[in-house]
Amino acid sequence: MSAPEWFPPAPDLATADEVLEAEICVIGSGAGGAVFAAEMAEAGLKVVLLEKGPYVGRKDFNQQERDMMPLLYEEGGLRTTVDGGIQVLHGHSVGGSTTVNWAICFDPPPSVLQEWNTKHGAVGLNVAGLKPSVDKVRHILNVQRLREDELTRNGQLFMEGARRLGMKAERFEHNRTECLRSGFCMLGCAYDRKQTMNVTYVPRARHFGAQLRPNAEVVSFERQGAQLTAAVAQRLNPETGKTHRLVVKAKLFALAGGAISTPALMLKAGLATRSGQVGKNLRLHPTTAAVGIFEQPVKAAEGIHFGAYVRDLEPEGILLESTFGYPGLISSSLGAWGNQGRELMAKYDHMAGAIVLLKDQASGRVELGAEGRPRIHYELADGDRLRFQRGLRAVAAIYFAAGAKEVVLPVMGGLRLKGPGDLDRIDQLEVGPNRLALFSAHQMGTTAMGKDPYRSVVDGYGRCHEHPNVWVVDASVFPTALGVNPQITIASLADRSARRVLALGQKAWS
Amino acid sequence: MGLGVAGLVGLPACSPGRSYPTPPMSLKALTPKTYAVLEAVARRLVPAQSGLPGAGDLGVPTYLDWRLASLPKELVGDLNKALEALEDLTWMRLRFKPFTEMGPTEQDAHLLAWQEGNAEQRQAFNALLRLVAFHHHILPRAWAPIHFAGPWVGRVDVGLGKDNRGPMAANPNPHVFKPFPAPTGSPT
Repeated sequence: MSAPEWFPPAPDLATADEVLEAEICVIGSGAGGAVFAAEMAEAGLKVVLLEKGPYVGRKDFNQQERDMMPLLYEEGGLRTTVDGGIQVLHGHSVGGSTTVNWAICFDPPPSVLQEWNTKHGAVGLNVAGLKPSVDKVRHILNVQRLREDELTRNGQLFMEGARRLGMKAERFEHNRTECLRSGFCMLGCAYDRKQTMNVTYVPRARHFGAQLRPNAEVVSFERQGAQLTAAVAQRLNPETGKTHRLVVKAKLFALAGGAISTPALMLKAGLATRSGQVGKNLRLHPTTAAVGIFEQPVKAAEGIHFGAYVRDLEPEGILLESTFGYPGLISSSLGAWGNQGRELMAKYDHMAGAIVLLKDQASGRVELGAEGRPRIHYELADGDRLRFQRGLRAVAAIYFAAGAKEVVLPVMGGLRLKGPGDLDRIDQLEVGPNRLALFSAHQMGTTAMGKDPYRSVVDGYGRCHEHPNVWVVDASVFPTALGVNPQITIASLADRSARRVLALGQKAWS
Repeated sequence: MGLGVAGLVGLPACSPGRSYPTPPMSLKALTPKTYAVLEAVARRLVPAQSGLPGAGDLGVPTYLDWRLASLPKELVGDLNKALEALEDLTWMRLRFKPFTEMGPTEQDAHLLAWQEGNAEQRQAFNALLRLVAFHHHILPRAWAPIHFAGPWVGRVDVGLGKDNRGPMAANPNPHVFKPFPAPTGSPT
């Protein structure tokens, strides 16, 4: 007889309509929702955790872009802003975006928390107050700094180049346990070593009694005045193709679908309309990339892709991170096509890759489009365009300092720099929609925290101003862009919200 | 994706009433016309080269038709409109035959014009390039020429069988189910 799997078994598929009664209904199982659900369940409350996407276990992660992108990413990873200029990536399965993220962990930057507190009215939010939550999240996710021997040639080249230029390069902190270094984090960890929500806080929530319902898309709420009384979901059975109605009656509703889906649901349901702020203030951490091509093979696709970062430009809101991607992602981001595209992809195993991530000054908005589908409007600010040029110049300089023969920028048609003498060409780049390949893996800000109910959607703890029993526990509550990879901040804020709910007791929903 | 081609719709086609071959399979998202255009576009964006198969040879348009069928109708509608515009509105670039009737050099020039064109054309070109390049390079037959070894699953046994379906009895992370001594009381 084989040994049992270590985590709770996969939840049953829907076969009939269902009505559940709970104290807490959590909608979304990513970095915020999973933590909030686990904290509530651990405290002995009856919790139902709903997830729009499927439940995908490690045996289902086959490490192929062909199969995993449609399964694990919203709209198969093909969602973009309305103008097509920014590819918007976010997760679509139990665990949310943590299932497909790069395992990069940054603590919440103190300066950002300070700004949220003092300028945006996020009452009580500060480094010391958030520390217990950060400590707990880091412990359960097993956050550790990447060891030197775990750094791939891709990361080594990035660090070497940065050091030669006098920049300070550091290895990332990651949430991994005994990583096998297969290098397929973005397609779901097939070995349960990346400590994502689907193998940490979701099993933890279930361990403490929470009921998980995947494939359950909330379409409306039942209400009595400002209070929500039930969430109504359509639950798809992927094997039969049939949809069943699921009603969850609860006292408190925690929205955690992420900064695109949460405002879309609120808009659809007519929640928090008084503020006029739902869906606004969208931040994307717009990101672009550069590739260095080296004489010797780099084999960046093998091993942990995300090795090191440079924070020298962080005061300007620019973060440089060494990363890489699989053939589909790389080829579709280079901007090169025809014979040039083929020639470049033939050098795939000689490439090193890095991204330029901006703490964006611009803000966009989420609206509802046809079929209730979110439409994402976003336009780069002029300052952000300049900062992209500055960040790309820094990455290209790093690669040339590390010995690259060529640096390729993801300009439509492909831009190839042959040496440091070409760096000035970056200043002439037109940074705009469909000129430079841009993507977003971090969406924030669409139900922002604040004191004023007419200028914000939730208070400093995530509680909705207009609906006392609605709490938002995802990156939607960020008043500004964070500037670093956000999973620890999202999870810590959700933990803090949970502690607040537990301290308030019944006053948290009345 | 999301193609702002509305401004191109309704303009006269350079070859109205032209018929297109019936594709080898029943289409799920594209029309015979847009399938033919996509096939021609795919052959230029990722061409066969030095004996290596291109996107057309690997069946990328067929695969894309299947993939698109699971995406929101709004996206699929926009893509069909963009492909029709690419085929029909060649006269706007002073080319007086449909895209599918052009030779490779002329097709490349027309695609380049869209790459550098107005906002709608650039958006459509970018979407097509992303779709074709991505869906070509995710196919295992495209990996050998670029020296990508492919997934571990099915190739490397980490103690769970090559198919990775063996049971994992121990939780690699010891912290998941253990209580954590969290502070009590309301956070500040």
